[in-house]
Amino acid sequence: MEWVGVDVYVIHQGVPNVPKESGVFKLEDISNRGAKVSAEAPPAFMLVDWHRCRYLSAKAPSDAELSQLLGELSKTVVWEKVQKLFRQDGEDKFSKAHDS
Amino acid sequence: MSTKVKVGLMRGDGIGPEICDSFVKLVAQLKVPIEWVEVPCGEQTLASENTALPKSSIELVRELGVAIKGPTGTPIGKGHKSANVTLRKALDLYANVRPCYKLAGVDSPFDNVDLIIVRENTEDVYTAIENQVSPDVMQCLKIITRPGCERIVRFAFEMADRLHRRQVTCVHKANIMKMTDGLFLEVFREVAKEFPQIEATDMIVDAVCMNLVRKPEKFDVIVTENLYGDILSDLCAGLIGGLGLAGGANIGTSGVSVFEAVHGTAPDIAGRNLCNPTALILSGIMMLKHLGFFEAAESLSKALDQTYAEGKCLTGDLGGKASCSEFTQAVADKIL
Repeated sequence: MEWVGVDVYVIHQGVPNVPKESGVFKLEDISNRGAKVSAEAPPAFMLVDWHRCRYLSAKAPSDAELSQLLGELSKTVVWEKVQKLFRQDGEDKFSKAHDS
Repeated sequence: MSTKVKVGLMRGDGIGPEICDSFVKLVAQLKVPIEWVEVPCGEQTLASENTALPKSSIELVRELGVAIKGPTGTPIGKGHKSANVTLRKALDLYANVRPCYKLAGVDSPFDNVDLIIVRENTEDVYTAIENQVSPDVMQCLKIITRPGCERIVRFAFEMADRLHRRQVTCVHKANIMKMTDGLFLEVFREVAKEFPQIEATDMIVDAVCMNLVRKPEKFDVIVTENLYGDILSDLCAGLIGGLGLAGGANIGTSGVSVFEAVHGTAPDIAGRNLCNPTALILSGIMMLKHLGFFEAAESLSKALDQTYAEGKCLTGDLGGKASCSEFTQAVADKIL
């Protein structure tokens, strides 16, 4: 399996204003309970204090680059969990958030 | 001059357009001041916009506040996301309401089913958090939140109170999932204290399944999480003659509601005027009540009941020979 990104789950009241990119990682989207949300246009629906920040990378990231991303996130939010995202035979092995 | 209420019409796939036509005709017969606004979805937009539910359609439903929806197809195990789930997530339609009662004349092992399932519609394993974590392992996260539990449980009790129901049963599996289902049950017990006039009980989901198929009359209002609700509501539809006879509503926090037929698209009979529009009519009756057209809802409900009680003009799924349009006309003829 090819490592192509990470989901970083963060604890934060309201949509977190997280870095748009860090090293090879680029912010793909933020979701709350499975629906996409945006810090610029907070949704009208119910949010909980647990967000998924999805970062994807155009090339294979390293653990050092992941550590750097987590370090930058730690300046503004509390990260709770990291989930590596994989691709196999050109197919993403992770689900997409719902549009909102 | 009365102002017409604008309502979204999501025709959907397969038999969706036919059952929508049926309901639109009945609304015209009822002379309810509704102006239909077409909301594109399903295969129509999948072909043109590569999504079964474009953002523009979501925004249109949000703007209108009310929509009625035919079924939309969802591929199993691959392909595009369910338009239903996307709609529920995007519009935060957190409460799925599925009344379940037997229409006269329908062949069913039970005569005394009259229950309502209130299903949490936005959490649980439906939050689209699935991953492959190793070559041999997949995972799907089950998300249950305190605010999510509070609003669905409160919705169930308030609805039960409004409809003079005697009992609300919390369905869970907290003996195994002590944290997630444990939270749901904990919140249920907290909220139940605010409604002392209603009996609050709880039961493990597997026991509920057994009891539903033996003594469904023991249940009144059921409130449960998303996955259990998904399964139980279809099980209950089976108790009254099938999904073709089960209406449903999705209620949101910001005043947006979508009423839908809960059955599939039935592609094998699509476009052949063979389908049974009853599920959408029942959903439409719920919608008419939601919009405050109580007399029209009552009139349509009686016309539908009478059509079934007579049993002269039923569709093929119920052993009759009537087409969808003949059945619709039979109901329309009974509207006073």
